[in-house]
Amino acid sequence: MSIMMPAADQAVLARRAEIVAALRAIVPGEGVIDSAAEMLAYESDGLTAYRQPPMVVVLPNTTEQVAKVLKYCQGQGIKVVPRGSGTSLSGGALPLADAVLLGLGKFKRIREIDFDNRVVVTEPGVTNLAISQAVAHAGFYYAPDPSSQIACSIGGNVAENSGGVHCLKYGMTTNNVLGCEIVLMSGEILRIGGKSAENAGYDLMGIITGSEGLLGVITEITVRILQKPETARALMVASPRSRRPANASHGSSAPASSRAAWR
Amino acid sequence: MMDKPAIHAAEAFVHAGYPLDVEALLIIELDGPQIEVDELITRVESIAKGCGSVTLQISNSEAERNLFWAGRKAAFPAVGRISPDYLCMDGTIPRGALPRALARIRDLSEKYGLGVANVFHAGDGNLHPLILYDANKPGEIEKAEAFGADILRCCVELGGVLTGEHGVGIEKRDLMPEMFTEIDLNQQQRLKCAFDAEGLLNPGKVFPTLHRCAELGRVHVHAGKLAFPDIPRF
Repeated sequence: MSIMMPAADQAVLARRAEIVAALRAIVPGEGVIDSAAEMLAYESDGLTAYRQPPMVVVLPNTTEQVAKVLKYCQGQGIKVVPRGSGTSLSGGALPLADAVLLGLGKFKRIREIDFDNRVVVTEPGVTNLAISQAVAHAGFYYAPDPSSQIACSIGGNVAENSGGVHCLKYGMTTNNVLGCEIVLMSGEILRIGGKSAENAGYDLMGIITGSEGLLGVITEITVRILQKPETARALMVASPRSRRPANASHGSSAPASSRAAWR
Repeated sequence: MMDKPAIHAAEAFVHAGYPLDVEALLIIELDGPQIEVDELITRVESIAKGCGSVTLQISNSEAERNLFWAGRKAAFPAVGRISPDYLCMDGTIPRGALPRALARIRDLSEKYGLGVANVFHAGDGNLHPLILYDANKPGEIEKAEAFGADILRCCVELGGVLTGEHGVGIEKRDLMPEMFTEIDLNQQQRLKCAFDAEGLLNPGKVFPTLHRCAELGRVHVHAGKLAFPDIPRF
């Protein structure tokens, strides 16, 4: 590894058994994973050059459990690394040896589809593509389309402000998210925005989007859905020299008079 | 948009019908009411021709449109077939700087002696150079990372930013000072402090140097302990 990460807190590691037991009391059953073999599945994300098994993995089911886990960790001075589907290409979900890895994989329910207001209220573990699939029967879809959309979670999309090939026209994640429920390290549960396109006060949704899991843990998201366009056609343009299509991509929205200058 | 190595890799993988004797391929999609799309696509075609490009094909069915995209969408796994490993970079430039950025990436590829396949969002200037390397060869990952860092520095120099859609994470963390001053980074961390005063949530990501919130004007020392005493502080 050429990137230095914060050194593990030996005092926290020494209390591992006690921490695992405390997490089990909050998330019972299979929601806490502490065996070395099972934790290997979480040792890296899409940036596979970097690996580090976590101290323990916790997979809560409810917002209340997330709040209790975070509050407990804050009280005990324990680091927390949130994780969606683990498709991050920048290492956003890389675990730390002395941190709790908080996976949102069990938050996979779409809570509400509201065609009248053209929004979907969803849990963060739902995949990007599943949102479009859930509303496709009525001719709707969710616009941002990262290449990993069959696997990446909508919560991860908000954390990273993900894009996709259609974002040039329809905007990045930040332009397609209207609200969220987010839990802070203190265990406090915040609701930001909602179904309306207008919000009072600071644009906290804009701050949360792209915050890379450093500000809070998102437990619910309200996204905008769009009506599928009547038609879509694609044009394939090739150039014998690599410079030309780059110019074409510039020229397509530029006035004809200035286009010649880029040739 | 894809460059020659990416076109060849994608075509061998999904057989989308891409031409193999070209240097670059650009897919342009228009959507909306049929009458508008039909009219605009011919205008786009003539703009492309005016720029010296050869128009190959306009999709006439949904199946054909999906085929055009199939190779682009599968370009990453396709590149995985031609190289043991690759590093996917993610920088953004003002799109007018695309030709300059591509030329710089080509020069850097020669300098580092590592191949590169370019697959990106030409419209919004979001580059995804895939740096080809072999993790089994000692020193190649470090070389690939240095190459990647130079590409991102080039993006900033051209007026762009360090990331397009993949985030900073750990990958671009130490390059943040290339783009932001200490004043910028301090203000960003004050925002972080407002949400997580003890720096317990996802530490080690995004910020190259971690400040204690107290140093930034907010006093919060948990149990008399300084978080991460080993990390350099200004």
